[in-house]
Amino acid sequence: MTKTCDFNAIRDYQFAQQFDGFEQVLHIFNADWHGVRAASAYAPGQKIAISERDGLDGEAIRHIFGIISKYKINRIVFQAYSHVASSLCESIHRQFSGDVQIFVITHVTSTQFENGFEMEMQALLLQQISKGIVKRLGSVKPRFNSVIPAYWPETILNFSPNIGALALQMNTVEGTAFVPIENSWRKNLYTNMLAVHNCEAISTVFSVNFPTGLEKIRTMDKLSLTSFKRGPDLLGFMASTEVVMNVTLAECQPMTQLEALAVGTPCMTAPLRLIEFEDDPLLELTEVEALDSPHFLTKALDRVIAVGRQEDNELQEMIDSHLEKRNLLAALSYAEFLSL
Amino acid sequence: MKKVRATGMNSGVKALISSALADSFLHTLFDSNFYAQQLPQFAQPSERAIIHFLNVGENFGLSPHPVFDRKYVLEQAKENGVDIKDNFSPFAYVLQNDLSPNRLFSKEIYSRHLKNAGVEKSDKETHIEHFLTNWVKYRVPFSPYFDVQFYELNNPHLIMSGTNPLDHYFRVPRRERADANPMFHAGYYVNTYSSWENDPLVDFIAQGCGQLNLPNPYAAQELLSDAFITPENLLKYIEIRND
Repeated sequence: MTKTCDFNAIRDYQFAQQFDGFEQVLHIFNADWHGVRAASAYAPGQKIAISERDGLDGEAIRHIFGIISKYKINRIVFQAYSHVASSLCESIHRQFSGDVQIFVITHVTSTQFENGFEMEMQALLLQQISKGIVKRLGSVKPRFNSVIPAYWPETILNFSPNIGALALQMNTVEGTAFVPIENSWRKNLYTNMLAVHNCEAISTVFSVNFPTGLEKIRTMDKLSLTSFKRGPDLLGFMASTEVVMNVTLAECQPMTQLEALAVGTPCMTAPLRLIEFEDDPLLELTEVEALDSPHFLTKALDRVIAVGRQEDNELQEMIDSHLEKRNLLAALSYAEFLSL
Repeated sequence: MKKVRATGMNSGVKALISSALADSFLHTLFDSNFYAQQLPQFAQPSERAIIHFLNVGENFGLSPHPVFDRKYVLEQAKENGVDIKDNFSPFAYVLQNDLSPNRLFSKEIYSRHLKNAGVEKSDKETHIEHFLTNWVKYRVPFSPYFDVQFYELNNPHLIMSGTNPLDHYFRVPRRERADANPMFHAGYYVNTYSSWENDPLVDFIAQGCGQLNLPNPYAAQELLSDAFITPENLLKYIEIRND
């Protein structure tokens, strides 16, 4: 039988942050969109993964109604949007009417509007807002209401995974970097790869994708391909490396960064423009302005590695402090958005 | 083992018949129209229906009320060590011992929630009678498996008409019944394991869970994420939150 809905799957709750008041909140998301699924998995509340590819049959919709009833769900958050999500949203609205409020959080930047699907979904959401089906639209991209004014003006902050009881007894191997990004223009694999190869402090670069053709113009002797990872495997692997690279050309709030930080590993990113963290020392250290320049990226990487190798534990304290604030503010942003 | 009275036609039933004539309370668990519908046209009672039932119908296994599950009552009697003879009256047995006549009605849950709501029930009436007469007024939980809110979601007219949902459920033909439990998909269950001969939810609770039949197509994946599939876990899986 095709799995068309997956309720509270292990991967969707084992690393969830725990905050009181979210017991009757249900997150619904696409099972195959890994970043969005991770953002949903680490948030507090109940979870249902649906599939845009397989759709939802009557039995699945009946089951989702049952879950909403059994767990007395009063707020549903669709994390990202699709045609299947839209149909389900309308069905839930018809069945439960005012007893269940429906919210949508999008994880898209205007850069991605080159993909017509993204704007199609935004148009659909605007229709559903005007019909009163969707109560509020939120975004994890700061100031997304400048793209579509109907959006909630504040930023929804993503949670990091709660590794809690998961004892990661993994020793960090000095001189290793992990580049877990796909080979696409937006994800900037080549620049990241060149930067780590140019960094003298790095001797081994693990990547899940091969920067095709780069070997023709320079030696790639540090590169070691590794398999795609998720869940505990991913976190464990990140814990074992000295730095994670995720400097992309367009970004909201990368889950890769939050996953790396959760296991104590710094992650290089593009500027995230989170006003809540304007003076955050960790982000000042790990955010890179010159996204398309391996030179500046390597310099930033050198700084991070130097701080990380100090004996005063400064980098770990920065990470701990950042995560504590990040998760607390994430809970507050969700609570405010959902009017909890 | 609970101490309960075995009730034969020669003892308690006669008393019941006379009290039925004198007191209307007995009629709560006896629906004369429902009873008459079970009889062929030529056998319609010429006497008072309840007397016909006690004298004739009950011996033929007919039911006095949609929520009266004779099979379940007989099972309870056997469990309680009652020597079931030819003249045993399940109807009188339920009333005289204040028992539940249906797996979807829990006297304990109903009683506890009545107390929590500050409602005093007279000792003269049984819990099932009180439930059938007064539930609409108090709307307190009465079952670990029958979810009123979920059932009313699929039958919104029940709230407006002030209809007892359990009573309504058993009056609807089995194939047409809306699901009464959020996690139990009757259509799936019947198509996979059972038939419409019995109420699917009752069948699952009575014996289907013991055979590890699943209440919906997602139950295995959801249960296996943190438990083994056992009859107890299957029942727990469909239990509703009555807090």
